[in-house]
Amino acid sequence: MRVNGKSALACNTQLGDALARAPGGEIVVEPMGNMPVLKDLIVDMDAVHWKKIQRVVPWLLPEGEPPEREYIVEPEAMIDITQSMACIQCGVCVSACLSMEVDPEFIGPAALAKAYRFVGDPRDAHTEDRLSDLAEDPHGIYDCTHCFACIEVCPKDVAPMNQIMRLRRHATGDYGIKDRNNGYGHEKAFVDIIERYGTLHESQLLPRSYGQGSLIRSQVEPRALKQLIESLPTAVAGLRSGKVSPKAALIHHKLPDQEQIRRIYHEIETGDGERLELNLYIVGEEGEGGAAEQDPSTGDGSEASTVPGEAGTERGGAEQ
Amino acid sequence: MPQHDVLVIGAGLAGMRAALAAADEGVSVGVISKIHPVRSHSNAAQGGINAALNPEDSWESHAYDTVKGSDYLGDQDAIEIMCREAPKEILHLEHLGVTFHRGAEGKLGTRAFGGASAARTYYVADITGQAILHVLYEQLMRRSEVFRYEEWFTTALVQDDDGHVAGAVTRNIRDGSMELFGAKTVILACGGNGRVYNPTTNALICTGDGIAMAYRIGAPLMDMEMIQYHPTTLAGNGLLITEGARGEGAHLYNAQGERFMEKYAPNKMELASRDVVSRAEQTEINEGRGFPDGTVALDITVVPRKRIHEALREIVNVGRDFAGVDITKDPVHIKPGNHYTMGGIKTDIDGQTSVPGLYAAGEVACVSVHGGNRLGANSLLDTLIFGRRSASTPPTPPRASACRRSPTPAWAKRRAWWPTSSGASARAGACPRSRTSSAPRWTATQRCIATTRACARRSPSSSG
Ligand SMILES: Cc1cc2nc3c(=O)[nH]c(=O)nc-3n(C[C@H](O)[C@H](O)[C@H](O)COP(=O)(O)OP(=O)(O)OC[C@H]3O[C@@H](n4cnc5c(N)ncnc54)[C@H](O)[C@@H]3O)c2cc1C
Ligand code: SF4
Ligand code: SF4
Repeated sequence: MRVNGKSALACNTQLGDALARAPGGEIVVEPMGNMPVLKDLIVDMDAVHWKKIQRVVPWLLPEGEPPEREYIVEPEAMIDITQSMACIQCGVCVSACLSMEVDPEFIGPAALAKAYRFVGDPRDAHTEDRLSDLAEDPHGIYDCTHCFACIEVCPKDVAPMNQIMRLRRHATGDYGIKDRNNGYGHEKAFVDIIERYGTLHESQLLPRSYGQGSLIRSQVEPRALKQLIESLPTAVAGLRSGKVSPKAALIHHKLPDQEQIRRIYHEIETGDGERLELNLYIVGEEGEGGAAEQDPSTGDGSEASTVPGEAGTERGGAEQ
Repeated sequence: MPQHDVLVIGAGLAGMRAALAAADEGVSVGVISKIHPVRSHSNAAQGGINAALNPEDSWESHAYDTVKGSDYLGDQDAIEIMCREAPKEILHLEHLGVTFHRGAEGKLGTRAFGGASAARTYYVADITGQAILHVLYEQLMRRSEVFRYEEWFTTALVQDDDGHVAGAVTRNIRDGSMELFGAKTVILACGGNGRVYNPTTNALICTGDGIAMAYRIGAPLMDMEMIQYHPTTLAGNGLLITEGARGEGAHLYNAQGERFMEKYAPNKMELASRDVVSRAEQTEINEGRGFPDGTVALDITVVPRKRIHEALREIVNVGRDFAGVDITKDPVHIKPGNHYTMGGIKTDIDGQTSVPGLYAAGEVACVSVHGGNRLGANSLLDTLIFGRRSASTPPTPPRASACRRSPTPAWAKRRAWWPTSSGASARAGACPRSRTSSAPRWTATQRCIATTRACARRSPSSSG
């Protein structure tokens, strides 16, 4: 539900904390957002959350007959997807998602985190199908606006937005999927503009996303023209209100030390090819950051550590 | 009246495994759960699941440990079946998609568990039960033959004139209506009854409904006095503090600041067996040396902070969220609590009870593989093995299930693996949308109206 307007699990919200944050000393509880309310605090999770889960083909699709024994996979791969496996399907992120508020058909944080559980699973044989499906869907991976809301509210540190970003990186970086939503082009435009100017040159973003270069130089794709025309009122409003001056819009100033930026790009591009997965948003100390980071070799999840000396004869041998 | 060949009541590991096995037999299956299946209590199992799968290990060794762990009270034939079939079951789960963590060379990894003579516990971080539960649910979503009645509460079993179980009376929690379900076979998989006790590590849902329903129609119960107690459950709500805390070196103190285990188990101290530690704590509390809230203190601060974050991550969260205590800085109040019901509805090795047509599996049942004491990580195994077995003798020849087809994405159609239809989506009026779909772009309001309609359509008759 929502406590003081913020999506959360009621069961692990401390009353005292909620009161401290309550404006006017009154805790306000409301039903979850983005889902139809059936009655009082009860929402229809089937109609939204579970429907979206079903949308991402939520089961493993290996190729051919299973092996005689287990599939042999990289230990790291299983740990990697444990973060999305940790999802308890509570729907709190769905309730909080800003994109879904605007586009109710957005597949959404929980379902996309679920999708990553299969895309990141080496046993699944349809990674590319899945990725292009999610990239081509107008309500798919490029519908997320990076607002961090889902990461902030998730009680299990699943960090759905990060899983979405990983889906994007796989779609663009690994499979080069040039989707019809132009998510690919849009991301590339960001990268290119920053490389060139050091900061974002907004008036170039749209044309570059759709064309190959700047508005003037490029052959703008027909699809983009419509978008460009649609965005004209916004541009005009910006000019009128004085938020943007025509000069600033057209002649973007470069960061003084552009060389540094170039160097970063160079470093990344000529690195050893290894993609750094920065889980910056999983807070905590070393080793605390989520099940995903547990060391498989020691195999000691919190329940693993057996009581030494207990193994053996006694009844107490029963852990869990 | 919804009618199924096999009606499974309960959708924890035992129930879902039974439903999938019944679906494999080609019969029509209905699964009832009073809560959404992925909220079933099987979620709570963190540690793992046992199987003698390593070539160096043997089912005999697993069986021996289990018999010994059960205080020699377990049924040895049943234990043999469970331990023999365990490796195959683990591989089956792995093939279905359970993300078991790996060891060297990418093979399934194991961890050592109490009472086991080999490291044979397979695991997914500290969320093993949850991972298996979710993967079985993935499979249920995939199968068209299985109808899910989520948030339906069964209140009684129904028998025909010959005493053969013929169905169940169930309330649809969503609208409060009562419905009679018809079935040729009913499999009870309602989990344990920990909530009879206070405190307990069991969730609010573990109220022994299945045991009560079976008892009321005359099914014998067995070993009901065999209750496993856990020494460290959180004051106030009984949440489990893993044995690992003491394994890592945490101390127990009474209110007078004495490390009382010196008196009861001078050698093993806090690491003595579960029943010894539980009894010691309760003695301290009974004799007035506990805290006013009827507890003793577990001091985890003696464990290095970094190690706590590494090995006891979930306990840090439990302490913070449910006791308001930073366990890395302060002791936490605990007391012994009910943990597991070894007893239950008496069944044979195929889950059959003595009432015709009634089967039972999982914590609700007593086969008995746990005897006087359940070995760690054997209970998940019990649910799966006997869940499957209880559904593997189909009651009647296959019957075609009447299920609506849901649209299939084009890329999926090319492949043989796409399910022909999905019970859930047919019921919910939901359809996985294809990327080339021309489905309308709904406004939020339109969508609400549509979804509310869809949910109104979801009457029992349309799903049966
Ligand atoms: C804290 C904790 C940790 C544990 N850790 C481990 C471990 O590491 N390893 C291990 O092997 N075991 C462990 N166990 C034990 C194990 O989790 C359970 O014994 C096992 O999961 C029981 O599974 P089940 O399928 O029988 O029942 P459950 O998972 O409890 O499912 C019961 C199902 O029945 C349904 N139901 C109940 N009543 C009704 C009704 N009236 N109408 C309709 N539906 C109903 C519920 O909705 C639910 O779907 C642990 C237990 C606890 C409490
Ligand atoms: S980051 Fe993306 S998925 Fe997450 S809440 Fe924001 S828009 Fe939704
Ligand atoms: S990702 Fe987090 S918030 Fe979203 S459903 Fe899963 S556990 Fe809940």
